[in-house]
Amino acid sequence: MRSLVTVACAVVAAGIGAGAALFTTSAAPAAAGPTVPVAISASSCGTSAGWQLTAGAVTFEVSSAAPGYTSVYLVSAAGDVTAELPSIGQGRTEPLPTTVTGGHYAFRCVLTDATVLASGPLQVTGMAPGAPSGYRPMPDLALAGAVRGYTAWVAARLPGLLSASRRLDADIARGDLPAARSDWLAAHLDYERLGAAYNAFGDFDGEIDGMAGGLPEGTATPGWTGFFAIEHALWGGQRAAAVRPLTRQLVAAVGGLIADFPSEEIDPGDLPLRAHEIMENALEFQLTGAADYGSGSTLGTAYANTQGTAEILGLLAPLLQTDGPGVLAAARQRLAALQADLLAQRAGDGSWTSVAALSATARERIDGAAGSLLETLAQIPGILTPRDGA
Amino acid sequence: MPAGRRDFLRGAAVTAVGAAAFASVRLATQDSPASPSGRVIEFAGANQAGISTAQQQAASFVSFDVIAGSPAELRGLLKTLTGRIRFLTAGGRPAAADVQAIPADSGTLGPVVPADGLTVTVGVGASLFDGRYGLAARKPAYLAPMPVFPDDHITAASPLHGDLSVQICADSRDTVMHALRDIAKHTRGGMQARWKIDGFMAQPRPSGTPRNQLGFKDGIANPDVASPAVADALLWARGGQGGEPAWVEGGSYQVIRIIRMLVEFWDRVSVQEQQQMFGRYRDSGAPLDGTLESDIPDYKADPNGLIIPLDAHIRLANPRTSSTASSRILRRGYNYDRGLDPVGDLDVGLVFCCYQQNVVRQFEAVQGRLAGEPLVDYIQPTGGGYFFALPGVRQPGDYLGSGLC
Repeated sequence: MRSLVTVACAVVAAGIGAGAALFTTSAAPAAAGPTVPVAISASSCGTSAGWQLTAGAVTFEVSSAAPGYTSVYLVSAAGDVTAELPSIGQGRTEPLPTTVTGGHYAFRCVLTDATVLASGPLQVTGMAPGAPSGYRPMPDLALAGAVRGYTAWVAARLPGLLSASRRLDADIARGDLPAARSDWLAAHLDYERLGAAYNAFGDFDGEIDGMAGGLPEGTATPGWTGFFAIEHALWGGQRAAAVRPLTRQLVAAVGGLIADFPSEEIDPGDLPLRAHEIMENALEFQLTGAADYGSGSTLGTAYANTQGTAEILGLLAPLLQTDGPGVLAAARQRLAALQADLLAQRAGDGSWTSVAALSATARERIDGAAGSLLETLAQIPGILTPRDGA
Repeated sequence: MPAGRRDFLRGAAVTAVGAAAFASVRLATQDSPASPSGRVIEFAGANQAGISTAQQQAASFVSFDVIAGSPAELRGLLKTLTGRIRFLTAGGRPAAADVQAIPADSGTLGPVVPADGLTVTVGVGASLFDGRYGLAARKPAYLAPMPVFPDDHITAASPLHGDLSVQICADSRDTVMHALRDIAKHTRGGMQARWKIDGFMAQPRPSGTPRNQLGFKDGIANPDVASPAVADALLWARGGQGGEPAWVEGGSYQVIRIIRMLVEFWDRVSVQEQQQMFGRYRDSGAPLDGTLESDIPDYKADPNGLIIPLDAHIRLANPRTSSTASSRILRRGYNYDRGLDPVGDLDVGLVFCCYQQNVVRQFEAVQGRLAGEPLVDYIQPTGGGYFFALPGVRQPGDYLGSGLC
């Protein structure tokens, strides 16, 4: 089949008068490597005798007879996980493609009941560039400290957010719209700094910081509340009396969040994800200007988001120091570069250049710095995936 | 999306989702037939591929600005770009990444990336030779920002210029998009996309040169660059000659012009008038004094333009005289479709792309002759730029622009 297609295409190419010498026929695609069966049961994790393999691509075909769900790890001699099946069910056979290089490996299986089994040694001869160096396996509990730190950090900042919201409400109450615009920005940045990406604060995030995009009548939807609704009103020429219900509601919602926060449980796995999700949202809504409801301050929001990301990165740093020092260093350097580019757009009075007013050069620098940062941050969840028993 | 992701990573649903994903991977591996096109167009050579290469079906023209912070970073960018183009144009199986890691490949072409007739051609714009990277003294002699021509329709929002042009062509649309995603992912922080336009090739209808969106065969009179003598005279820049720096040897000036065609207006014009504007028969593509598209118009026999008007497009573009022979260009354009304009008319036209040895002697001379031609009422050049397509990469360790920086 393949050769027929190739010939046909070569004929077509020659037929349309191409410089024939430019074309070569297709080489077979790079081999997937040999397929090596790995059988798992309640008492075995592959063969105890072990295997011998040549360095290069290989696909392990893992079949499980073990009850429930089993995590399967290919672990290097250094103890790093180079390939894994997070969960394979009883009776299933699944491919585990990877590349192995010279040295010793072994499979480790973590059964449903947390029993850990290991295979005999997998001995690999030769060298394969591009073989994954692997992840230092980290137990689930290792993230507990970072989660406690994040919770404490947020909790310590919520009273400041409440004060800022009350200041805004007081400005509106006495009809001081210029002060309200200034205090709105301060309060909004206080909130955005917390790293509330992806509804981290549950329903409160929608009440406090919901955009109008998903509302049936957009910005005209009754019941739209929070910072963006207030921004839309404050910069849209509304009178103070019309804004007051919104600022009162904001104060109430922040109070509600403070009351609720101690009982909110943060999944430890969320923290490594948030390390890049906050900035994914910043790119999607702030750097595009989509979240600009009139104040033109989305670069300030993006900067607040970098501060939240920096806090999370700091909390994860001890884990990354061991498990991904290169990623940590690159993330810090790129975060600092983006922050510098953003800060260059903050005026002395604390106001921000709007995205629309950015020069093309400045905008490309900021967007490029954000994209580059994200490619680095996106590696963190993989590094900090709990791999108990691996 | 976040909920789904978290379930995949941690929650109870992990097995079902994971198993489904693996099942589909295996299916693809076992059942996938040969790639959309088995052909590999060699990347290495004295010239870049994608210039004298016969046109593939799908194209994207993407202009980037370099945001690298130093000359060393620019060099790193060019090396990365070269490495990705090498891989993508050869095709193959990306290294398997751990399932918990971000993927090595977008997967849009399946687990094995087909070469699919892909070429990626990289050019540099005049702006790259400003003070940022210390390249001012190395600028190709005739490289300048594309001027605004009198018949242009340029606004502040027009897609214009750029530090780098990346022309991506392949036998299928998804391969072009896959290549662009891969290149952008690997070069983030080094360059930032400035504008992009996608093109498609028409099929020969019913045969011969494909038609543009005005219904006329377009590109009939391209010089035969398969002939080394023609290519050397018209296509490839000559290092050390005519004021050119040595490093340009084997490169070629690229002109991109995004030319909107007012097809609704055009369709309200008689075929007679259309043919007079082009100088060719719409059905056959033959010049108005001939019967086949390959017929050469005999302007000497028609000095007053009674058969082919003196201002017909083909007559102005290529008067077929000895003095204008050296201004011929290699056209490599694609039709484009950008949706609708504010009044609901189609925003379609031609991504005019041409290559030449000297943009002033060739494209600008042709453009000068065409100024004010009757056809300008039906077309609107709305953007583009001048670039210099870099010389080819010859050795395995070499990279695009190695002679430059």
